[in-house]
Amino acid sequence: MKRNRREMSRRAVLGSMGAAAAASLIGPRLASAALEGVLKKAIPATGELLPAIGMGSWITFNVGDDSDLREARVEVLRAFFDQGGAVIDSSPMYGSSEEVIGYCLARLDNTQPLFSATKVWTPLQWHGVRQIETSQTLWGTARFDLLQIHNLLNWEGHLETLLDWKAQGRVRYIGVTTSHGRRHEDLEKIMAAQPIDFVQFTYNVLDREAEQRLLPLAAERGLAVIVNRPFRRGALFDRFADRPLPEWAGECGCANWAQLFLKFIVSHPAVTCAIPATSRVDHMLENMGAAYGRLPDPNMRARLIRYIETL
Amino acid sequence: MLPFTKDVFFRLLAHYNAAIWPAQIVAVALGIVVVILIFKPRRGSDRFIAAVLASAWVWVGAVYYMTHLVTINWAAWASGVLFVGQGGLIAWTGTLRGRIAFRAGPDSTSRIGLSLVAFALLAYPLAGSLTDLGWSRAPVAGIASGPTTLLTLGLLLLADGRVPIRLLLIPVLWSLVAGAAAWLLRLPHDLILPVAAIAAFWLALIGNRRLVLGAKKNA
Repeated sequence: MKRNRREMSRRAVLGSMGAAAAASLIGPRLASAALEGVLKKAIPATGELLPAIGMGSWITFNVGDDSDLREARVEVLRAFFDQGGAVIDSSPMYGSSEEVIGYCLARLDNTQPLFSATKVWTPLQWHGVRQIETSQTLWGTARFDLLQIHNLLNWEGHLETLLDWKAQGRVRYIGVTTSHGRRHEDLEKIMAAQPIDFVQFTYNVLDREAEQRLLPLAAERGLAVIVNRPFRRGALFDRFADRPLPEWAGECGCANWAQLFLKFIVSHPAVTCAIPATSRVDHMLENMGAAYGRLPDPNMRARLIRYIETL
Repeated sequence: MLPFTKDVFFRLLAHYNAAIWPAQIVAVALGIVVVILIFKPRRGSDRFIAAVLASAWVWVGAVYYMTHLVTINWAAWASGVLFVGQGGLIAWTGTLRGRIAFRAGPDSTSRIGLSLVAFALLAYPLAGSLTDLGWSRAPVAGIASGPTTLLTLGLLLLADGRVPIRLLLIPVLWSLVAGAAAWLLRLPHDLILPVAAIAAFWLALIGNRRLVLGAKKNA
């Protein structure tokens, strides 16, 4: 993934002297003092607040048994928690990611709250139960905060299981996911009719189809929204990293493209949390910088869209 | 789309090669013996070559796919089953039933077969090492899937008489999948796999058809 740090204009530097830039520049110890200011958004079902920037684990945490790479991921996760992160999202589909997350969590003496989110991904309902239990073992957790049905696979069967688990108090929230714009119509039907708490789909500065129906419907139905592929799997950096950050980026506390892309997402009123994935500490610090400072207002969001369309 | 990065994959290959050392030496030695037996066949050498080939497929399936690659890719389990199955097919057809004789003839199919064998044993590990993989991750025929598949395609083109098409199906299928993975991971030396597989399959079909037509003509 191409993700260059670019020289900022003086105006952008001055504008981003808030906690966002400070957090990414001064390191974890001092940054932890700024955790009070981390941007949080409420889960509509309960009002519980979640940090607006979470962490995905597709590809980035799939390092198998490689001990060096596992240790490197421990540091990524340490940076995430140090900067006030809480939501970690994974799936049994992601190879060894769940196992590596469990390994990292066991090695961190983290005192920050963790919001654990994984998925069930199998065509068989009975196997889904075993899969969730395996995920609990891999993560080292007795209860997930959020269980989601991955890409709507056998959603009817798994929803039955998840509702049962929720009723028993074995999971706090349940939801459904899809990615890269697939099956939006099916997702919409589930959102409209089923008693779920969360929904996860793709939304970013270029992929804005969700603005038409999914995001308004989530707001109407009181569903929390997790946004995946916030950087379009790195394609946004391939396309824009060499282009100048807009002069006004500092006005909403953005010191780099990553923060601008993320703040665009979480500034949508219906979005609860964005989950960028990374295998690098410096990128994690950049991402978590988006959890601080001002969010772009509607005018600034429109300005960003106009700006990138000119690039 | 693959669920791992090129860097993670390369590190896994290095760890795999280190974990199985010195199996590479055994694999290279067996490859040399196979080539010698093609040119100087002895009693039972065809069954021996088939046994070597079958063992290579079972090794790659059970050790590489189902033990190592599966740690970063759940789909490797399916590849492992295919490879072990192909090993069983070769063992049944070539070793137990003795239905394949490997001969280097003067015809173009044989020459292409020999070229693929040479490429699998020499050029492929060299190309892999020089391009992306480095010596620690050198893909050796018998322990790595790519050169093992090429070696198999080459040896089957050397079959005396009709090429057993059923033995080509899994190598061809796997080569197409591997070609797609090579494209995604930008591994240029692996792009030869789908090309070689399609060519080998086509040559086998043409050769078998000629044999059938020739038999009818003689009858």
